[in-house]
Amino acid sequence: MKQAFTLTLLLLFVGCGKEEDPSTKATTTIYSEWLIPTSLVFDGGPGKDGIPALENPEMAVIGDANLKFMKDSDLVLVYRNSGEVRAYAHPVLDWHEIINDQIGDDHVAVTYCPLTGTGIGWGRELNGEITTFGVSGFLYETNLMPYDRLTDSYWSQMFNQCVNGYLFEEIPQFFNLIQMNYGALKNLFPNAMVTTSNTGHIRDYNSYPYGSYQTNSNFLFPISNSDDRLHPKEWVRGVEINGSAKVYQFPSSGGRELILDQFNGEEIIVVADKSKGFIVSFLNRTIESHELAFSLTDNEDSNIILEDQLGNKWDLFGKAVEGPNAGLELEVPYSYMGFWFAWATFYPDIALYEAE
Amino acid sequence: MMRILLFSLIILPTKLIAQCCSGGVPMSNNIGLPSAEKGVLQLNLNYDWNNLQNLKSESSSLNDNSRQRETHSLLFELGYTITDRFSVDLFVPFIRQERTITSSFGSIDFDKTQGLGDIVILPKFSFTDKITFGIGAKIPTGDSDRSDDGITLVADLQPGSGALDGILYFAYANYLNTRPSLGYFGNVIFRATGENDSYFGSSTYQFGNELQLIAGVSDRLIISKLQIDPSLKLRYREAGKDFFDEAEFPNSGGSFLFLNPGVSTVLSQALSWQINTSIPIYTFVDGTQLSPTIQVNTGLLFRMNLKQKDFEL
Repeated sequence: MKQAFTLTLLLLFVGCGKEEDPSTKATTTIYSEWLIPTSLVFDGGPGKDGIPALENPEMAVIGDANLKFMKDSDLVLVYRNSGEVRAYAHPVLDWHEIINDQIGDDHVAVTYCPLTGTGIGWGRELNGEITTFGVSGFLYETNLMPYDRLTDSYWSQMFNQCVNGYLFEEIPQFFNLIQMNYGALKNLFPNAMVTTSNTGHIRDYNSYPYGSYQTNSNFLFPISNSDDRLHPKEWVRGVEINGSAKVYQFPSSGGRELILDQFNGEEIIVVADKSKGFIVSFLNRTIESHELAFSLTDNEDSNIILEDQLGNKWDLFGKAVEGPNAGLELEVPYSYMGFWFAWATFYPDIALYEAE
Repeated sequence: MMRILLFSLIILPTKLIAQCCSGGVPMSNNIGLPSAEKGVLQLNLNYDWNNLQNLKSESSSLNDNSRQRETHSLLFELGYTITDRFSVDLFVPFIRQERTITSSFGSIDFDKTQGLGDIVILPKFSFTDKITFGIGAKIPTGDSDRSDDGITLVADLQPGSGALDGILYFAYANYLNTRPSLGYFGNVIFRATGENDSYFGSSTYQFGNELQLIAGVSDRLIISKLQIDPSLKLRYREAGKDFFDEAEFPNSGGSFLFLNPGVSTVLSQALSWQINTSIPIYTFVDGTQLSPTIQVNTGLLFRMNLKQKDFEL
């Protein structure tokens, strides 16, 4: 009993003052210089890699048994390279936030923040080396902050820059992702490969981990600016031109809409389809001194969405797939889908497109 | 003799172990010193280790052991019996919160905070030798804005909650007439949580209200002249959802049922020692959370009557 007594005393007086063994408990090195105010950077709770990013996840063709967890209303982020179409499912991204993948010769990190709804493709080649991104566990303006595993630098997804670390101020390569619902994907890209639930992790991919967050007006972490012109969680596509941003909504009618707009000296083409869940945006161009005049195609069940006065037909990714200029591509501005509040937070002077 | 027996019965259920992740303030199930005679001063020193490593989504285990949360607490509790019926307890915790994540890439991320927790004052009234009722408050003396590398950490990693809570306490203990050494006891502890209105600067955070129901039995064995009191308890804990800026934040709430085997012994007239562990047998967490894996609590209780000069340790 004396031994127990001694042990208790030892625990009592040593327990709270113990020092961690550096060989077993590493700490992250964070540089002192930040590109963003640290007063708006918060620890999200799970910690660094507490939300496990995926690498080269299992993909399956539509109809595969491992895609039974997907509902037609679930959203996906679609990327295409060299004819291969891959779709990254929100139900998977909600739990993992980053998917490091290779599509053809493109090394892409599909970054998705469930709290801001923003899905952006980033290049994984940094300093001439291919690396991967992980989830740092930090949030800036309640938005995902990835870190790269090459230098352990911290990045802000919507700030679109390295904000702390060796790669300070570096800007990641942008890859255009198209968000749409799974029903539309099946319809428009029936041969697409989709992330399955075999991720190597046990998660309930049938359930959304944040309750009613996507539809209510609440936030889980502080933001510095709010704008009540729209419901905070309304899905919009924002377009950034020279540091200023403008957002485009789904048509209130519910059908497909073509928007031809001018913003910051650029002619913007936007196609929004509420039933399919996509809004895409392009910069207009001229062909042999002809400024293209676009109109919607008739067939909404095709991934060919636009046609021009020259007889070209353009698909969802902005590529001319038929006509005299087949093979040409429209430039995609820096743009992506996200919740309205997130765009309004990161761009306090943001413009909202309103039909005349 | 009966009073000493009741003393043993009451202290066992009240010296249960801390419950994380309810804001790193492991006090609700530690508070409440046993009833004592007028003039008795009691000092309880406990070390509490709480390990959470089982990631769960509601009641389903996700078989993900990459995350670990540990709370080490040094708990000082001072109680003084002013009259035969009325006493006051003061509970002072020192808390160290640790979070370790081992990624599949082999890297380890480690964060910690430590410091004074929230102090609890609990005045108690004993209606009889068997029934005690208390009403008290948890005062936000612990920091709730600690940061690591300049980044403010979440509420459940803080040593304090930043909120003033109200506490209701009820304890009952009795013994079998046919076997006076065999006792049974129950506790009800309710914590009505307040709101931290300076969370992350200007936001609010409120942990969910917490209810604990405890029932158990204890016996006294004499082994080689040594007095050993083994006990077995069932503890049910229900914690409501947390709120961030009045929006639900599924971070620490849920329903938990624990089995608590323990043992204590009286070392001398003034000193007793106890150790117990808490084993989760049912867990349902709000959302996805780390859930308790094991908890261990051990400590010494010094008890002295200031009105008697022949006190000896």
